[in-house]
This record gives sequence, C-alpha cells and structure tokens, in this order.
Amino acid sequence: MTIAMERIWRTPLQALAYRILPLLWRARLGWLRITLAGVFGAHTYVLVKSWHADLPAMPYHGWFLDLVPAGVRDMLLQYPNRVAAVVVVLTVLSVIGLGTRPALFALVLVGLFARSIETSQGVFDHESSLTTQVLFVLVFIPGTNSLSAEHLIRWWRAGRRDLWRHLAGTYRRWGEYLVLGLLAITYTASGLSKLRFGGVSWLNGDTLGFYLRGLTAGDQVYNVGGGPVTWRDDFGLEMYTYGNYAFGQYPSATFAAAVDWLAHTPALLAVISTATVLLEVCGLLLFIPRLRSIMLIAYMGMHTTIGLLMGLPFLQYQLICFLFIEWELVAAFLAVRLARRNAPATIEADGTMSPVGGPAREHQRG
Amino acid sequence: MTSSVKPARSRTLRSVILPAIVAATVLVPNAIVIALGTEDFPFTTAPMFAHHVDPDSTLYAFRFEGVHDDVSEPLPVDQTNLGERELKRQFLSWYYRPMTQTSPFRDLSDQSATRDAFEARMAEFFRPIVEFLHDERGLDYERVDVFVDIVDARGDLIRSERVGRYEARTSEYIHEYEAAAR
Repeated sequence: MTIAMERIWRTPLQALAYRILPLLWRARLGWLRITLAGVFGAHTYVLVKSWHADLPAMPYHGWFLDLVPAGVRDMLLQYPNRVAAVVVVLTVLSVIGLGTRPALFALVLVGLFARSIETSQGVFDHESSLTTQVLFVLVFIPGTNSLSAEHLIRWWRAGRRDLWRHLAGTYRRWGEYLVLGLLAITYTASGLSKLRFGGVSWLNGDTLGFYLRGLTAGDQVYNVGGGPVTWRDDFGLEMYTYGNYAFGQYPSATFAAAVDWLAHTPALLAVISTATVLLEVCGLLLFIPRLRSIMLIAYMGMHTTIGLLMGLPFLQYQLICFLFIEWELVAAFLAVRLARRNAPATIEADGTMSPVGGPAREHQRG
Repeated sequence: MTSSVKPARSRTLRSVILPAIVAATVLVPNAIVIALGTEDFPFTTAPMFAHHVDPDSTLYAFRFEGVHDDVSEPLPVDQTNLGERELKRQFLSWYYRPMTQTSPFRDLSDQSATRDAFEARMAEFFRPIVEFLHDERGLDYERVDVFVDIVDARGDLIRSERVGRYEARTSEYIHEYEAAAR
C-alpha cells in the first residue's frame, strides 16, 4: 500500500467507517426489517404465483384460514397476478421504509395467508414460521424504522444535521428482547420436541444416522410408528419423516464419503445429537449478555452444518442470529485492540465509535 | 391538568400496554403449541426430525392405487399438480391424523376419532382428487385402494396391507383394516 493510499484509508475512510459501523447494532431492527421483509416478500411472491396451478378442491385447514371468510379466501386465490403485484409493492415499501408499518403489516397478512394455504396443502414451512412472527412483531416495536426512507425524510425536514447520529438514534429496547424471546422459544421448543417425541434415545444418534443415510432423500414419505394400537390400525403412526435434501448432491465425493462415514459412526453421531439438543434446550441463555453472542454463533454453526449435511441451512434463522450478535461488544473489543496498536479509536458512552482525538476526547477537554 | 394527563396516558400506552399486547399476541400461542406439542402455522413446537428412528425401526408408507375395470395402477399424483411429498404429508396431517399423544397432528377427540367421522374425513380427501383426475385429466377410477407398505429402516419392503378403499360411485371411504384381528 502506498503512503498516499494509507493516508486515505487511515483518515477519511477510517473516520467514515467509524461513523457507519455502529449502524450495524444501533439500527439492528432496521436491518432485520430490510433483510427479512425482502426474503419473506420474495417467497410470498413465489407462493402466490403458484396459485395459477389448478388443484383438487380439497378443504382448507388451519386456524388462520378458519378466520378468513371463504369469500375473501376464494377471491384472493382467484387473482394471483393482482395479489402478486400487491406483494411486490408491499415488499418494496417495507424494505425501503416508506409507509413502513402499514406496508409491513399488510405484507405479513398476505404472507401468512399464502403460507397457511401451503400448510393446508401439506408443507409446513418451519423457516418461515419464525420469520412471520418476527416481521409481525417488527410492525409494532420501536426501532423498526431506524433505517428507512421515512426516517431520512424526517431528518431532512429537521434541518439535515448529522445524518449518522440521526440514523443511530436510540429507541426503547423491548422489541429487541421480544424478537430475542421468539428466537429463544423456537430453539428451546425444538430441543424439547426431540426429548418429548424421541425420548432420551434421541441422544444416541440413531435418528441422525438414519437421516444421513439418505432414505428420505427422495419424494417418498415414510411414517414413524411406535404409538399405541387403535381401532384403525396397529402401526402406531406418529409423524412423517423429513427430507434430507442434500443427500446425493454433496459438493464432492470426498465430502459424500465423510458424511457416509459419519452416518455409520455411532459415537460421533451421539456426540453431535447430544450437543444439538443441549444447545437447543438452552435457548433462554440468549438473554444472558456476552453468552448471547456465543450462543448465536453456535446456532449459526449448527444451521450451517445441517445445511451442508441435509440441505436445510435455515438462512433466515442465521440472518436473525447474525444481527443479534453483540456487535457493540465486538467493536469495543476491536477498538481497544486497535487503540493499543495504533491509538486510532474509542467507543463513546452511547455506543458510537469515533477516532481518538474526536468527540470523546474533546468532550473531556471541555 | 388535561394536557399532563394525556401525555402520561400516551406514555403508559407505549411503554406498558403496547409491549404487553404485542408480546402476548405471539408468546401465548407459542406457549400453547409447545405445551400441547402441536403446530399450526406459524406457531410450532418444531418437531422436525424429532421422532426416534433406529436401525431396527419399522416405517410405514401410504400408497394409493387407482382401480379401473379391475385393473390397478398407482394413482397418478403428478397429474394433480401436487407433489408426492406434500400430498402424503397433507394426508397424514389433516386426514389420517395419528391417534397418539406423541403426534403433532394427533386426533384424539371423541367425536372426530370415531369410525364415521374418520371415514367421512378420508372421503373428503379422495373425492376431490378422483373428481379432478376425471374432470381435468379424463382419468376414470372406480375405486382407490389405500395400502400401507411396511418397510425396514433401509426402505426394504416387509409387507403391504390394504387398509381401506374409496368408492368413487358412492363417494365413500371404507376402512377395512382390522387391527384387533392381527
């Protein structure tokens, strides 16, 4: 790097980075709205477009569809192109942040309707279930608008002073804790379900080994038995099996061989299964500061592993986890390290970063 | 007096009542489905991969056979615009509905778990499919036989059982499997 480039990097760019970086955590809910609304809206669009296909007229099931009047339901299903156009508009408004809360609320309603139809037809989208709830919460909680066109308009009208500080303004935190609570509940429930439905034997790794061996990679749906004999049958049906969508499509033969070895190594399967259940049932630890980031990184690692092994990366969960990592603590830690090395930056009391000699030092002098 | 009361009310609304309502709206249904071990979108107890399967487990796969002029063939599910996977999951979740506490889609109510209610529900599943295949695809089936293929954990067939049949002429499902007799 030339001396000139180094000067540019270490002065104006560095200063700009110090101003912008805090938006990662100060506008956490704004980023959450932008990213999740985009993904949710795009998938809703695909679902709505699928209404073009004629299907057998089976009854509709589920609490939400029970609430929607049949006339409204049929009208929506009859005009997929119009509903899809509305979804596009609502998604754009929700992402850029114009009429944000009404647009997001309407998008959640349409998205919930589309996913309820999908559930009624046999596909329960577990990834969308958390996203739907988080977006619903974002409609009402403070901080959702922190990064939005309407927030910029307010700044413009208020005299256009200190944009970054305006964007990184504080808001009440209860909404963040509620989203964190939904994440914690979802993970805890998942861990408890393994113990409730699979029993302690779930920890021995047999179930994981079964799925990794790829029997459920195709379209065939098997059902797990084990329940009591009834007047209907003596199969004791409990639940259908879930798909391993990555099996047969692993990135390399070496990787496939490694997965096969894992699927036939009971001790390792037991360790992974036990660690997974422990990690999941400890979801409420997300409320303990500092431990939270470790848990979130562990959850991201879990999803990435499941994604590699079974094709279910749950990217929306990972996105929520990523944004809720305590970046303010990471930044403070890095700032201290950098300060020791170069003395370039400090963290302000309100969580923003500034170069040494900037506002914080001037404040002390004053 | 009035002007100071209004902001206080507004503060209470924003700092207490709104958080309580929003939190209750999402947390209470979650608590209910987790306590019951059920799911109904978007609330879920997250039962994915949770039921135990080991190398000695027996698995059960439903198979539908359409019968026309005494000739039987696999029901052409691909002709219904529904995937095989979603159709079979839909069938178990909303129609066959397991009768055990350890199923998220269980049906244990006295009313709907009776033979009459069960057979009516099964007919609700097959009637639209058979009518769709007739009306949209020109495929006529007098009957749909419902089999359960019993397989081991490697997918190898152990045996098949016919559990019931749907009669297109009468739009009735008749459950034939007699568990007690086995």
